[in-house]
Amino acid sequence: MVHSVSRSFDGDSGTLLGVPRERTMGDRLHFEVAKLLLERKLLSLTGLAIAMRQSAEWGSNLAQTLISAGQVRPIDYYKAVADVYGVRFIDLRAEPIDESITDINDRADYAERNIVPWRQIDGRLLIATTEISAEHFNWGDARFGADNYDFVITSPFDILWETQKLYRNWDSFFAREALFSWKPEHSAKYTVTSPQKVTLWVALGALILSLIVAPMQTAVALMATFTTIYTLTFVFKFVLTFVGSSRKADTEISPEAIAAIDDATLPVYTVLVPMYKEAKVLPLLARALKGLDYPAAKLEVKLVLEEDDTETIEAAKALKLPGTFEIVRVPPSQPKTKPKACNYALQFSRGEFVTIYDAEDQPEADQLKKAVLAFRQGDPQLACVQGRLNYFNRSENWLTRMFTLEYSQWFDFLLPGLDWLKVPIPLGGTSNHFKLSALRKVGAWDPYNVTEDADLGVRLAQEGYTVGVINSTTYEEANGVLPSWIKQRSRWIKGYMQTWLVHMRHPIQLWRSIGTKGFFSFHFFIGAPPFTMLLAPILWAITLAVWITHTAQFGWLFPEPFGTMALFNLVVGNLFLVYFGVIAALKRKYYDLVPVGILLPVYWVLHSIAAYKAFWQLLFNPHYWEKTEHGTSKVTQKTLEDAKRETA
Amino acid sequence: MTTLDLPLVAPAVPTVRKFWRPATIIVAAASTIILVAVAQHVIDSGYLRRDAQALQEGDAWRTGGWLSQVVLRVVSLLPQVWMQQMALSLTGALVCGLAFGVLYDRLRSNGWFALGAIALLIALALHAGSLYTLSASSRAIPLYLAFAVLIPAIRSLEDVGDVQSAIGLGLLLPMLLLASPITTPLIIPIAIGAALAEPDGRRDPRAFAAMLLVAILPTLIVAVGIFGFLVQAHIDVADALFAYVAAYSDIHLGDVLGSVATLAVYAPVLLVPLVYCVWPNLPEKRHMFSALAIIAMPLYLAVARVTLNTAMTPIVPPMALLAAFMSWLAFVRLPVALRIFALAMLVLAVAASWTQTGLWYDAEWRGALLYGLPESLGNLGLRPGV
Repeated sequence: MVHSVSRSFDGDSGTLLGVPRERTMGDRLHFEVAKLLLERKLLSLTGLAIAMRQSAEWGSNLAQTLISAGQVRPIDYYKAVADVYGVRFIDLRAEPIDESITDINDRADYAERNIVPWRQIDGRLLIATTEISAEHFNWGDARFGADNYDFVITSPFDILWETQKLYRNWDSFFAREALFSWKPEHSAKYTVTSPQKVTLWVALGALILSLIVAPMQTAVALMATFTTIYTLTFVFKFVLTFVGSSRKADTEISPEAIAAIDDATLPVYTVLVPMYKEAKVLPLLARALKGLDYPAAKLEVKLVLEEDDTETIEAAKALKLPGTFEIVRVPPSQPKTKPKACNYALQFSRGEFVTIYDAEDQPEADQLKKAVLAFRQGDPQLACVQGRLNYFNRSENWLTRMFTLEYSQWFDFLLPGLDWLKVPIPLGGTSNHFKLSALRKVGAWDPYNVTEDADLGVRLAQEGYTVGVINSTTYEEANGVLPSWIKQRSRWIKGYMQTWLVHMRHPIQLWRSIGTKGFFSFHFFIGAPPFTMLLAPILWAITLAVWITHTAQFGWLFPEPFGTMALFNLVVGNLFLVYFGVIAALKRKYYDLVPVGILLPVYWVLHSIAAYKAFWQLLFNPHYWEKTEHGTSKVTQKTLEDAKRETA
Repeated sequence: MTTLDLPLVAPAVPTVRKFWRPATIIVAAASTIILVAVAQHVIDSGYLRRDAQALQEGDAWRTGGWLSQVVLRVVSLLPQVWMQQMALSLTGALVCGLAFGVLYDRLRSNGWFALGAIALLIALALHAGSLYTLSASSRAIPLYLAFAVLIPAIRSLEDVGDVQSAIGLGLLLPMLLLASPITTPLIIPIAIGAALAEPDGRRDPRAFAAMLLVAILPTLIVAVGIFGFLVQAHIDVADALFAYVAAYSDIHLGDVLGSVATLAVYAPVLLVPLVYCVWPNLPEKRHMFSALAIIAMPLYLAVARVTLNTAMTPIVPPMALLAAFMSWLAFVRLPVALRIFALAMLVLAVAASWTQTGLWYDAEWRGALLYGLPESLGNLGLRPGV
């Protein structure tokens, strides 16, 4: 049986490009395949007409359009491709790749170009691919020499599945260790380095010694330091809130600009959705992603699932998602973190841009287009744009209200403020859109950092990239269950501690790379908050002791001007922090949250509780990922029911 | 077409303008030097500043003007009177000189020719009230500053209407609390106005309440802060509140019409914002509330001064109006005719301030100011009475 397109070329190899192109039909291939599918009644005429129109509008090839729209099953399509070429179609799962003829150095090509050496039959090498073009011939020639190989056809899913199996350990190792191998000083694999340990022990020793020798003076010096940190943190937050509250700080991409986009010019966009044991919210995710205003043929959605999470894998399969969705199974290994899963999936991503959504996320429909426009408009160093996050269940209970106020302040005021000041932006957990090439250049996410997003923002800045904020919101589920909230928050605080420790390994280098303004911002946005959360209960206790007992005299602890500063922090500073929280509701017109905002100090107490949990974990279990449970909200449940009804 | 060609509304890249242009620095420096020289000249001529005098007599406190009290408290730490005089003069001259520089910069940005802007500054500097504030008693400067910063804040709320504008106004309202007990009640109508400025505030009571809270909260926070600092400084709170209680304990109907007429005579510039409100074809979108606030706030002062129990001098309301007016000029884009009209009204105000001296008449100060000048100049129409 003929099972390959034989290469027969006698001329100058310098003219190779023209010969295979002529033989391999180019764009005509897809029309021939479509004709065959029509004959086999695997595709309707109407379906083809729609796909052809979309293909012309989107600038995508017919194969991607037909498959993404669900007009034809991928396996049927690629079987037809094989028939058009007159070669054999191979089901790689039934007839697996011969590992001995593959090369680890070509791992990236296998994933990106959908090409992999399959087997040696009768002394002739067969390469499995999804189509045959000049590029494929050049690739084969470069590795195996002209006339030494033939092609067979398979589906891209087969290649993905089989190469993942084949390179399972390598891919997994790469996902875990790439950053650490490249720049160990940027990895949180080890929370503190030896010099840091020495510094910390020396500092602790000096503190204890001075407390013994001069306890009162030491206490005064400590209080002066804490007071100054508090004051500077307040001033920084004040500046950020004020600057970020300006309309000028918002990168506004208008609906008109979105409407004017020619879909044909849009690039392929990869969407990563890391999930773990979240089968129940899958229908929500599918609905949200299908609702994105982006050509389906240019979307590459990867559901990144842990291999042992069979429940979610089966649920995803059962949904019969369109051909743009792929399931990436992450092999089990430690640390079992979201960034590791994303790194793993990133190896199989082909988009010019890539973004991350959580399972329950509901991004605004035009978010991807806005991100593309922001990148096109931004300077070449713009590597990431952060979408704003907010909550769809804000009115569910007191905790969700507080959380919404906090997120509104964070994403609507503080991050635009940082953006305006041109200092490193700690990214949010989802809806951050990257240039794939830049993301790969900086070593992607740190799998050992439990706030890999915030860390990545700092690393991007250190590598000379910039981050922007776009005016598009992704609505998430606010965690309204207190124990779960504490877990989630303790992870975030622990991650900020990790990030600060990691980047303070070489403070001078950090200062040189992000500048004085960035350095200041790094300390007061990432370093100081966990510290102040830990410190707050101690200061509250002192204040209460002074007010309630009237017996202890603490005045000596605060000589001027620190006494005035401390009083300012306690009264004016704290009340203004409440004020900033309250006004956060204004941009989104959440007027109902304004009166509730007065209770923010109670919310700060919860932060301190979470901070102590985070500190404990940082010491004894730094890489442990406190999983946030999604789908608990009544709003989510209702939307889920709606989604299921729609599907039914 | 590529995506690069696509229209993108904002991020509009604003024209980058230097914060300090050389001309601005020169104007600020020159103004400061001249004003310091004038203030020093008055002291050298043997005049004891009224605020320094109050310090000596121990009645500089408990006026309720917290900002000026803080300055006076710091100045009182200086051991010698001449040092206190010098410090007060320098403070006043520095504040005014800087304000002149900023004003020049803003006027130029809003289309004023250099000559017109400088003429305006000279006229302002020649106003008797300005010179008196600078070299005789600077205690009202915080009040003038409060009025001067509130006008652009109100205008920003009208013009931009973003959250920053709301925060900006909210953060500036405590200035009225800190300036004087008499100006404190102004906070309430302005806060209500701010809440109503948001369209949602006019439709939805919840939105109105939220916006009102946002406008008023900073003032409450500052009030709590003052309370905290009083307690820390072991100052009797009742004693500190005395100025407020005293101001509102004896409300009486004084010469309201006279006070208002005086305001008009000493600061005829109030006609400019009125004309602005009806002027056809303005080169900008008309912002009436901020224009009317220039008149309304000093008008309230003029009425309050004669109906409440206060030590506020008669010159304060017209000077407050001038401050608000100048601040408005710094942000409004006027047609040439209105600019000329504004300049003419200011010149008229200067003339009135020197010919009708009843509001500030202080023979010692006048003598000190004009000391060394030709006698004929010193006698030019300087007579008390309006």
